[in-house]
This record gives sequence, structure tokens and C-alpha cells, in this order.
Amino acid sequence: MADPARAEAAAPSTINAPALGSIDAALQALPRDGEEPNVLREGLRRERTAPPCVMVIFGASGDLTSRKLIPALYDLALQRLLPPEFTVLGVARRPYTDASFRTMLRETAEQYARTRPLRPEVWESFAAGINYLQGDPGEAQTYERLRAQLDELDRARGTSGRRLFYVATPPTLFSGIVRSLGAAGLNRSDAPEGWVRIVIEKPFGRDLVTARLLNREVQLVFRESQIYRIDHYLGKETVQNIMAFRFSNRLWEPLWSEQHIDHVQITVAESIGVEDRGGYYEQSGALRDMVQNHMLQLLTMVAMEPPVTFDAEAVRDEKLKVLRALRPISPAGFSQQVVRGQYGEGWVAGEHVPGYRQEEGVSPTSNTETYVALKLYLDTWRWAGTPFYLRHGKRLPKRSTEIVVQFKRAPHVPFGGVAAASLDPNLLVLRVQPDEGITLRFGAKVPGPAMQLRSVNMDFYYGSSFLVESPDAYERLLLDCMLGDRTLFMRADEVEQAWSFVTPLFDAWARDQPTFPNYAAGTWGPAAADQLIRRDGRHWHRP
Amino acid sequence: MMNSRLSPQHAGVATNVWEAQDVTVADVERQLQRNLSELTAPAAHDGAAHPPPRASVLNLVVHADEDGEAERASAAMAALAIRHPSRTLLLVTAPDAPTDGLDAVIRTQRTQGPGGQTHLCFEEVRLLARGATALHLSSVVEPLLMSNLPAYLWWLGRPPRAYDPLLALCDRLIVDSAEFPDALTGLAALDACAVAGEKHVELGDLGWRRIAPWCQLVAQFFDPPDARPYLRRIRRVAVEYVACPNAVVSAPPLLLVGWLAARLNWAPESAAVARGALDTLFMPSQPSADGDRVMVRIRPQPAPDRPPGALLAVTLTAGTGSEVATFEVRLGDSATCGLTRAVIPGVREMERMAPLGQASTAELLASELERPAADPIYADSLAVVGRLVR
Repeated sequence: MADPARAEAAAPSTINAPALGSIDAALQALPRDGEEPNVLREGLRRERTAPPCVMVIFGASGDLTSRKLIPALYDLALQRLLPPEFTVLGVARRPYTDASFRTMLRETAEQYARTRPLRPEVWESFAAGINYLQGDPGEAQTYERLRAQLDELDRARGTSGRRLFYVATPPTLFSGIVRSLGAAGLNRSDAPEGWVRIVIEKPFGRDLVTARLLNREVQLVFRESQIYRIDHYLGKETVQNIMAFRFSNRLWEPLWSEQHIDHVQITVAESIGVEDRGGYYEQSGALRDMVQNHMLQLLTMVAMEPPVTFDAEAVRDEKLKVLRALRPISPAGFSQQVVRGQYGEGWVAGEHVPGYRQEEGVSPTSNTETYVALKLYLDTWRWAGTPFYLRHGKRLPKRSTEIVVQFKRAPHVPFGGVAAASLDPNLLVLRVQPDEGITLRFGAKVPGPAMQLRSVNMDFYYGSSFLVESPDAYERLLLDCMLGDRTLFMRADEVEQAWSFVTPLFDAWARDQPTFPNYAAGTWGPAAADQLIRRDGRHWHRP
Repeated sequence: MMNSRLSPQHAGVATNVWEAQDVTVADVERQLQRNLSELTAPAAHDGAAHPPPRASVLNLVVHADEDGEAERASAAMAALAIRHPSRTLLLVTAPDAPTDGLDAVIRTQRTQGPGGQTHLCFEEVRLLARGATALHLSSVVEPLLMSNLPAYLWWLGRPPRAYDPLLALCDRLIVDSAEFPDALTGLAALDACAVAGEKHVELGDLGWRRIAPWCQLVAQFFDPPDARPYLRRIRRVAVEYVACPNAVVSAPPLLLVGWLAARLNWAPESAAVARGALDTLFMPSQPSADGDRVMVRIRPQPAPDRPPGALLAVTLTAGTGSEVATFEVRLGDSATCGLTRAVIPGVREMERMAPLGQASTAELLASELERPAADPIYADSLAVVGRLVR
């Protein structure tokens, strides 16, 4: 066992306070005294359904609740994955009653549930467990009423002190809610079978300092094992499939290193602009909105070492190690490794569209980036010298998310110059969306008397090989939360590590004035992004 | 007599149909190749950079004794639409036909994936085996299977004989126990297929898939830790189902009881069957001091607007004296929902409507084909039913 990559995997990690978290997890997994397994569950499609619990949603009158959370919960109920006791308690300022809250949710669920139309009797039975508490999340008194109502629900519905707090409010309210929950003693459960968990939506801060601050504030009240930072990207089947593809096959892993891989490209292209989120996007930008979270997560999945098991700490330890191995971008290398862009007017899919600065809610002199291209290195034995090119932009020609792994050329091609002239290096493309699947490119002989070679593609199309529909990301993640599985949620140290890599880029950008717009809507980004990769004798693959 | 046509229906979708009477297996193989290369030729698909991929997951062999059955199977597979798995061989047997031989219809289809950018190819070969050919089907099937892919055999109607040569050729036998004329003997015969011969045949049953939501709801009663202890104390099980015209017990209640007994480790002691009713005594795995048995009653109920044989209700009674808890799932008014009710004295009383689903044959088939490995839970349940007959 002299493989250094393995030795590295076995080295003790130095993450923040992991001991507390893993002991917690271990204790939770132990069977309690006298508890026998439910033998009837054996072999059923889901080994466990969620235990009876209450989900408390802050910001219950907002879009996230009505468009994502409630439809996902309804679909879970439809699959019989929620227990009869399951209860929702919405908290917000608007004056709803239980009845009018349910009516409002039903109207949106009709529109957004995965399985439509709604089945009235299933909805009625599910909605009977939905309650509403009108209250200002900024007032202490709200939490006293909340506590009283939760105790009452425990009694009436048999939820046994199991509580899931879902913070679906604007980020400015996060820390206040967390503090108040702590002050009201709602951060722990006194019931013997009880637990308390808290789900936090992104953004987890807007740079390293704010992310750390937010983590500290939450960790003052909740233990890390109670905290679920949700990034819906990780709940996508297609993203989880990257790990399945890498770690369930013998075929790829021996080739998966600098020895055989020339470089990796990760593209998240969007054809849409900022839609009606101009105001939000002005505060965010492409790097914060997509690269810091989703794209670095994709990078970790492509680059991570095989985890020992597919459980929360093992997987997140490996992902963290990738983030820690990211080589900081030095001021000298900055112009060679980082490109930002902003779209001007142009044509997308046959339609004329305005430039970013003309969008609603956007300043006419805005310097917010809508495009980012990065060239990254991972300082590990496995990846030394292999560049990872990342690009993301809005108003690009088409919507596409894919990971391209380009292999090195064959060390020696015995067929001579002409025969191999049209032969490209081997390519493995993991398409995340749309049309999820895998393409493998290899060389083959063109039929005929001469030894002439050409590259051909072999396609695997994910949807065609499975007969079941994929669940929505929120369905998967909400169920995981209730079951206490944190594998697909972000750990505090992961979030901070990602920010500590990205934050210096903002600082560097702040020092000079960009020339925006620098790419037309409907093109593949600024010319500088092409130069970034062409300098290395490579090119972006057309998705 | 041969007839071939390529019919482009709309952009990106095309079907190629070839029909011929009195053909050889080699003819069929050749034509399959020809159809596929026509569909995948660059000229036949607009603009795509390379040939459409073929979804190669498994071979599905369908066996039908008559045309009507075959039509139903064909409709179910058509409903799977683009989620269709690879190659399908639809065999219709006519052993009493005056002449021996093989007639074939080959249908190859190119269609678009859900994203609209990817093309997919599927093929269905329908074969009518006449006379002696019908008695030697495995020699017809073997050359037509795609290599290195599992072969599943979907057997329509009553179960096959345990030594049918097709079983030896296939990795999984799929039946629909709801189609068995007599479920009790049919399920026992199926159980025998699983253990016959040297090769182990995995079993799948669309009827088992159909009652899965019932099993799920029953299991869910015992998820809360405070309900768990009642699982071992179940002493009465009552199952109601829709009476069948021929007054025999249908498969769904038998499988449900078989499942409970297998999971809870109950050993059958006696069984009495009469006019669609079945009474059974089981010895529980942890007998109580008074030697109580588990009493199971299966009863038919008239319900003319429901499919014959389907489940209507299951009630479990657990514990003794004032400690008696009941757990019941009962079909609702709408037939796609069940009313579940748990009464645990001194703990809680909970009632709700839960979706029971009413899956089509196509959906049941899809979920059966999707199941990657053997289903030991079904095999165990079936074995209990087999023991009831013996």
C-alpha cells in the first residue's frame, strides 16, 4: 500500500470540531433500549419513512414555501413517505388563518407539485396537518407562542418532540431567528425520542467574514450535527450520479489522475438573464450566485478521493480536502486565471434581449459580473499540474451544465501522420443537464482499405435506461433531514473553505474598473475567457 | 410474403415496420439489423452529430397463449413509451395450428428523449409460433436475445410449468398472479418454478407490486417506537377482498397474509378453505403464555364496481384484554385512497386518508423491470402460501 493518494486519504483531517459531530451521529445511530426493528419494513422500497415530526417554516408566506417546500412535501405524502402524524407549522407576519393558509398553499401546489393534478383526498389529509402561526420573527413573544403551539401539536398529533426548523426567510433575518430560538429554549428537545434540527437556505454569507460570523452565530445555539445547510444542487439526482459513476466502477478510477487526464472543464451555462431578480443579482453576481457554491461542489465531486463510506462525515471530509487543496490565486497569476464578464444586448434563441445594465432593478453603470471563467489547480498528488477550467455565465447561447474530462493523447500512435490526423484525444463528458448522460469519445478505424482513423462518440443517455422518474431535489433533501442524514448538506468548514478561496477574488476585482459590457448576449462569453484557455493550447468544448 | 415501410411521423420520430409470414430466425435477425441501420443512418435523423444511442438494459421476452393476451401486453409496453427497455420479443403460441412455422412483425422506433435533443432507438419483435415450432420456443428465442444483457420472461395468464425450457433461458420470470384462474394452486405452482432445475430463477409478480402500497401502509403503523411492541403481539388478522365470480380465494389477500407471516415468522398450523373464504392458524414466533395462535380470516365481499379479487380491507388486532390495539387499512370511496386507522389505548388514535395508487399494468411492469435484484421478501411470502396448499 504505497499509493500516496491513499495515504493522504487515510491521514487524519483537521476540520473544525469534528469529534462532537461524529459522536452525536454515532449515538443517534445506536438502537435505543428495548427498541426492536420494524421487520415489516424489510425490503420495502424505502427502508425508513420519516419519523413523526413537526416542520416549522419561518417565512411561510414566501415563494420558497409555496413553490418548493409544500409541493415537495405533498409529493412525499403521495409516495407514502410521510407518517400520518407529520405536521407543518408556518410562521410569518401575514394574517392567515390555518384555513386560508391551506387554501393559499393548495392553489400554488396545484401549479408546482411534481404530480399534478393534486389528488383531492390526499391533499386534504396532508393539509389537515398544516397549521399557521401569525407572528413577527423579530419579536420574542412570537417564540413563546411558538413553543406553546409546538407543545400542543406534540400532544394532539403524536410528533413526540421532533422538530425541524426551516429558515426560508431573507438572509437578513437568519441570525435573529436563530438567537431567538435559542433564547426560548427551542434549540433542544426534552422528549426522550425528540430531536431538533435546523435547515438554513443559501446564501451562507457573502464572503469569508460574514460566512464565519453566521456559522458562529448558529453554532452558539445549535450543535453542528443539528444544522442542515441546504444547497438544492446537491439533491439533484444528476449530481449524485457523478459520485455513483466514479465510485461504483472499476473502469475510471485508475485513469482518474494527472497521469492520464489532461484537464477538466466544468461549464454551467444559462441562456436566461437575471429575469425579475435584478435587484438580488446586483448584490450577488455570478461568482457568489453560482461559482462559490454549486460549481465548487461539482469540482469537489469530480476531484475528491473515494470516501470510505457514503455517509455524512466520510463524504464531507473528502469534499473538504478538495477545497483545502485549491491553490490560492496569486496577484501575479490573477489576470491569467480569472476572467469576469457582463453581457450587453444581443440575440438569444432568435430573440433580441437587452443588456444586463438595461435589466430591471440593475444600475445602468453596474459592475456586477454575469460571467466568470477560472483556471484552477489542486495541490494534491492526484491532481498536481492538471488544470481545472470553470466557466459560468448568463445569456449564453444555450442552457447546459456539463463536466468534460479530457484525457491525454495516446503516448505513441503507430499509424503515422495522415492516419491519425483527425484523431482527437479521448473525452469523457458527464452531462448534468439537460439530457443527462455520459458521452465517451474514442478513436476508430474508418471503413476502407486504408488505415484511417476518426473520433467517434458513444452516448449513454441516463433517462433511457431507467424506468422510474427522478424525484425533485427538495423531496430528497427534506426526507434526508427528517431521517437525520446530512450527507447531501454542507458542513460549516466546507462553506468557509469555499469562501476563503473565493473572497480574495472579490478583493482583487474591487481594485480596478472593468470594461463592461464585454460580451454580447447569445455568445460564449468575453474574448478574454477564450484567451485564458487558448494560452495553454486548449479550447472550450462546445456543450 | 414481406412488407416493409418506414414512416416518419414527425420531426425526430420514425417507426419502421416489417411484416412477414413463414420466416426463419435468420430472416428476422437480418431484418432487425437492416431496420436499425436505416434508422440510425445519418440521413434518417436530422442534424444529430452521431447515430442515436440505443438504450440497452435488458431483453424482455413475453409469452402469450393467445392473441388477446398478446394485444394487452403490447398495449402495456406501448404505454411505457420512451421508457421502453431495449429489445422486446413477443411470442404468441399456436400449437394447434395446421402448419408448423414462424410469422414475424418487427417494429423499430426512433424517438426523442425527454430533453428533446437525444434520439433513442427501440425494437419489438412479434413472433407467431405455429404447430411444432410453438413447442420449441427456446430455439427461436436464444439467437434473438441481445448478448450480455439479462433476459426477463413475462409470462401471461396461468404460470408456466416448472420445467419449461424458456425458464432456463431467462434470468427472471414475471407473472401477474391476478390472472391466475385459481390463485392458491397458481401461487404454489409459481413457488415450484423458483426452485425447479439447477438454475435459480428470480420471480416477479405484478400482483405483488399491486399490493405493495398496502404493505407499505401496514408497515408504517409500526414506525413510531411506541407502536413497535404491538407487532409481536398481533393475534388476529382479518382480510376482506372483492369476491371473484368463480368463488375461489384471489391472490392479493393470500400474498398479504403470506407477507405478514413470513416477516413475523409465523408458522402455518392449519388451513381451511371454502367458497372463497380461508381460515388459517399460525404459531407466532414468540408464543404467549396461554399458547395463543394467530388467527387469520380471509373473506370475500360483494363489490360489483371493484375489480374482482382486489383488497378491500386489512385489520390487525394486537394484544389482549383492555390493552387491545387495532390497525386498519380500508379502501376508500375513490379506490385510489385508503383510510388508515390506528387505535392504541392510552397512547393515540390516528386516522388519515393515504394514497393507495391504482397503477396500470404498464406502471407495474416498469417498476418490476426497474427492480435490479431478486426479491427475497416476495419469495418468502410465496413460500408461506405454498405451505398452506401442502
